[in-house]
Amino acid sequence: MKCPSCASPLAAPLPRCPECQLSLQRLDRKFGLVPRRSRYLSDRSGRLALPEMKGLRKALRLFKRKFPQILLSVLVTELPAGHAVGEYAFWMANRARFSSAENTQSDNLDLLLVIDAASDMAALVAGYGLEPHVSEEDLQRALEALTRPLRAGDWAGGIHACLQALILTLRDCSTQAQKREFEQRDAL
Amino acid sequence: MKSHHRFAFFSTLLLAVSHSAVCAPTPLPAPSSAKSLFQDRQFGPLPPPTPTPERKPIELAEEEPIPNSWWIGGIAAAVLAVGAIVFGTVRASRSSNLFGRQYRFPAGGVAALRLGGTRSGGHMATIRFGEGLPPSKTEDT
Repeated sequence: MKCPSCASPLAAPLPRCPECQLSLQRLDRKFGLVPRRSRYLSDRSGRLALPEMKGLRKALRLFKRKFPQILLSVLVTELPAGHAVGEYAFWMANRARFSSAENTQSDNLDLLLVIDAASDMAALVAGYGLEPHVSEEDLQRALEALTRPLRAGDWAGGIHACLQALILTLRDCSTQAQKREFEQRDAL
Repeated sequence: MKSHHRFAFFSTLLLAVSHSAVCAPTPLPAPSSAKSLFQDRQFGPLPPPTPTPERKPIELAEEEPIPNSWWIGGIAAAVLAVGAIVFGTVRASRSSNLFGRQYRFPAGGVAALRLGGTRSGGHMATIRFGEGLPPSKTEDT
């Protein structure tokens, strides 16, 4: 695990980053009120047309059917200068509550994709429940599918590509996790 | 006359009467040369034989070609029927979610809470996609 702000490794449960002193309360003061958002897709940058948003919401609902435990939310925004997309994604994943308020700690398997149109950066953050099954390298591979379409100006295509890559990655991770669980049960 | 003489007399008489009744020949009718019992051509002279009809040659009607409108109509009906079947099949398969397998993750253990977050501890990936930047790993592969 790494700090969302300074990327220093975090090996143990800590209330704040030992390097940059980052904490959720500090980010509350930085970002203020949680912005309005919808369950699946929110576009605060105006990059997505209405038909594209409909198509993306449909794809995200299908994702939810394929992975019933996971709610994947997408937020396209324009952050002010000095606001790192990693910090913002970490803060939104904890404060925005896209899914049920009861999904906390290891019960939270949600994913949040934040695309910052101002800095041309994106972050994909996972809940505690996915940490044992999906590595940060898996998230990185899925996120890299965004690059080519977004460089071409196809924002909806980029999100669709990331969604497809994420489906493939999570499918493999789920299969491996189930296999590990069966092996552990057999060993017992 | 004694009784046994009387019995013998009546028995002999009875035998003689019965023998004469059995052996008497039955009188046959006398032959006569009168009219015959059968009458020839009782219902008049025989009619002439029915003439056999001549065999007519089978005339086959000339086959008329099927109109083009029939061909077009038949093909259109077949296409519509196949389209309806495909549409129904696709709709049924999608509604029944036959190929939409669901994937689940086993429940995890106790989460190591970090940085005050109760839902996420910053397990993430970030990427820069702006122009003029070095290509990503996806493009390299």
